[in-house]
Amino acid sequence: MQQRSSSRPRLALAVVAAAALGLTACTAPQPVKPQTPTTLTIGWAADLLTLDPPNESGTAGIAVLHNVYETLVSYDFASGTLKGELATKWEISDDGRTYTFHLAEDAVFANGKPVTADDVLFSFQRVVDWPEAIQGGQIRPALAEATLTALDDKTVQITLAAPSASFLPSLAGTAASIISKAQVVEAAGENVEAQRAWLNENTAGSGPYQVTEWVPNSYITLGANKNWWAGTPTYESVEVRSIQESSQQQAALQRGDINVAMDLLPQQVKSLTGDFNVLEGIDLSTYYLALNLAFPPFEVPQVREAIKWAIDYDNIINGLLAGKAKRAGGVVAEGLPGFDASLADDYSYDPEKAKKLLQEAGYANGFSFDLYYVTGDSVRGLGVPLSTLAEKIQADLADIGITVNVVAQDLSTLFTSYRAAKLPALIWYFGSTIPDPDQIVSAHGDWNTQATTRVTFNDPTITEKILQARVLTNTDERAAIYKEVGERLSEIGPYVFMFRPIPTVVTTPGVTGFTLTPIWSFNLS
Amino acid sequence: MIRRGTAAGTPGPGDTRGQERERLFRFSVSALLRPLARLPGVGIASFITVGVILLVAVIGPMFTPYDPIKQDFGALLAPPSAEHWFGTDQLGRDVFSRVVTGARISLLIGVAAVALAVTIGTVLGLLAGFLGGWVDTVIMRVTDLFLAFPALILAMAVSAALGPNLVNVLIAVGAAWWPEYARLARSIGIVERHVQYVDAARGLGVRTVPILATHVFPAAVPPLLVKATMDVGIAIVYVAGLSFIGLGVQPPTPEWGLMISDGRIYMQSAWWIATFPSLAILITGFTFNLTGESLRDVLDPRHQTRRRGTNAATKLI
Repeated sequence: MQQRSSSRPRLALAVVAAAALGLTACTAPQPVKPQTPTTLTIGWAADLLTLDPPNESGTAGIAVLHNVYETLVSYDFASGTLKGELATKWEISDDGRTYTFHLAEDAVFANGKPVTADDVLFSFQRVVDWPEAIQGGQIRPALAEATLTALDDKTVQITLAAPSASFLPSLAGTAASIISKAQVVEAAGENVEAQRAWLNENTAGSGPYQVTEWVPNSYITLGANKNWWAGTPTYESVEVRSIQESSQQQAALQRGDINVAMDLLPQQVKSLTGDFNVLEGIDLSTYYLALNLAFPPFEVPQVREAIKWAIDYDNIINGLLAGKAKRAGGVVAEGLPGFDASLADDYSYDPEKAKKLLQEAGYANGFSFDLYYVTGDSVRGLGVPLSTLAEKIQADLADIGITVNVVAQDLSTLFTSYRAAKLPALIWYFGSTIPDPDQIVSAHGDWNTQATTRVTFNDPTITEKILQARVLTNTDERAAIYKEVGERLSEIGPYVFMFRPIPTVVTTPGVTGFTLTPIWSFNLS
Repeated sequence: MIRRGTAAGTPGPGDTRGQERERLFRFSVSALLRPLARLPGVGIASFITVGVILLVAVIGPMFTPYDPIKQDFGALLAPPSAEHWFGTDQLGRDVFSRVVTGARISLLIGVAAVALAVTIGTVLGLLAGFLGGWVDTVIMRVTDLFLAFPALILAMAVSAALGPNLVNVLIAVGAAWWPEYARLARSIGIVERHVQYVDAARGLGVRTVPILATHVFPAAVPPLLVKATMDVGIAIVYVAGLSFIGLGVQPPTPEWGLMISDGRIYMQSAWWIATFPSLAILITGFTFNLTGESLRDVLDPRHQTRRRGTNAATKLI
């Protein structure tokens, strides 16, 4: 009606009004395509500790840093291969020790300055010079003994002390983020402590978004990088809001306060009414029950085996987790070399067999032990509390005569005791932070790492094999060794592998440029 | 000058703080309940309800339709129905059976924790008040030390230090609570120190402990009983609170606070898990407080006198 009006000012007004209301589709009766918001708001139960790449090991921190900084190489999970990011190509010498990286000619930081070999050396040297930085452990051992040289402005050469198969994949982790030296020096000067203090709260990367505001335990805002060399960011800004309770996330999502809810329970996802998109991702983390061999009778192999047969995996996965998980038989996840799908069939729910094994071991009347878990923690990406999982395990083991006392402890207390090998048993998960199996396999079998001392599991065969695989550069040979290790771990190991969650994320319609990825949670573009 | 059965002690150092604390502590509940408790029939009704709750706690668990810790994966998160009156929880356990069984656990811990606090508090308080001198000073300074801490924080600290389980949570709540009883008992001890029958007993050569037991303690019973009855309700809420944050009773014990903690994340998809134990806590806490208030009217001479006086005055007019 308004459009029929002949008066010009009125027409103009009508056009403005129509545009303002987003009613462009009113002339053609087609379904309205949901609009992409200018700001993407993500509700997440996770918090960041720091913004300094080598020092942040938390899930949320890694996700943010992954989208703020870029690395020399990146990993494509679909094909299981490494691809270039800041480095367009690289050469590896025949002895497997010298790597030559060629940086992208047009790569620039958010401040507009080109990414140079100098920035790479600066970023890596920071990791080497900072032994306390937790996440730096991914690349520090290799880099500390390597020689790093800048052949020219766009070429970096790294010569390792010994060949290492996991070196290249480890450069895809956030610890190896390339930081703009010029920007850091300009803001914080040459002093290392001042630089760390500045990078703790600010970012100087080349990724699609840069941190503009961060209020710890509340929210972090990322602004679009106008100078992004690899494309145009979809959103003007992205806000990651800390919302701990899944019920609050659901309420916020339904109110339209957030566009993405990261931690909804499977039951909540099912009961959601309205127009929402559900994204399913892959998580490389494996949930398991760790049994400490220093606590009798866990040193008896039959006892460990009995427990592996006694857990009702099917009801845990399809009942408690509403099917949003996959049975895991070993530590290496799908998509990484060494993954062995057949391990998942090694054990199933068979309480009779478990009882028989206990009898053989001389524990026909059962025994009792304390099972620890982190207070208030829940299964990643699914929101199901670990306390519920603990009660299920308690009930399953009660069926074969084992009395389980479940003990909830806060993370720092629990982790301190776990590291000191003082916990008899706990529910734990381990996720890769680099796209290579060495990290996760070593943490569960290599006696030289601190991780296996936590469960007092020393198997020389496994340790030897892991060391052997570490220096191999042939992926197939390595994968074969990891499969052997996986089999032996499954057979005699102290871990009762349970499942790998399938993170389920709900978004409002119109959200694009947000994809789920293992390790780094999500990719923004 | 001589006031029997006042909740606050006679004036002394730190006493104002004690009174203030007590006033604040029970303000919200008591201010609402006092007029309510005066209503005709409410006293009887609350006594009956407490009786029913006690009955449920004692014999209820024998008649529950399901085993309260039996998991049933065929009926996860089932809504209330004829089969499961209060629905089932995230592990398929029957919420009705758990609430009923939880009554026994909650009451047991509530009563035991208060009993522990009353025992310690009364013994120490009577000794302090009756003996006076350095005994009084030492005991009261220790009491002050405990009172300086918020009771719930103290209970959390004790429970965390001892390791959370059923017995320790009882100790934790008892340890946080005894100073209040010590103060109350002390005020009675001071009063009783100089009454004639105590003087007479002393004159006859009766020793201190028998005097305390046979002459002084009976005078302390009514006010202690009133306070203890009200506190059982609060203790149940405390225990539920500790369990809610993981510092109380451990799973799979069907404890109300624990059930609310488990059920709260399912509030939108399965409201029944947290709602029914919440109602149970509400009703139990409320009833015990109301009973305490009614009991005070019966046992506390001051309240009776005032009421009778008013009635007499009304009649006269």
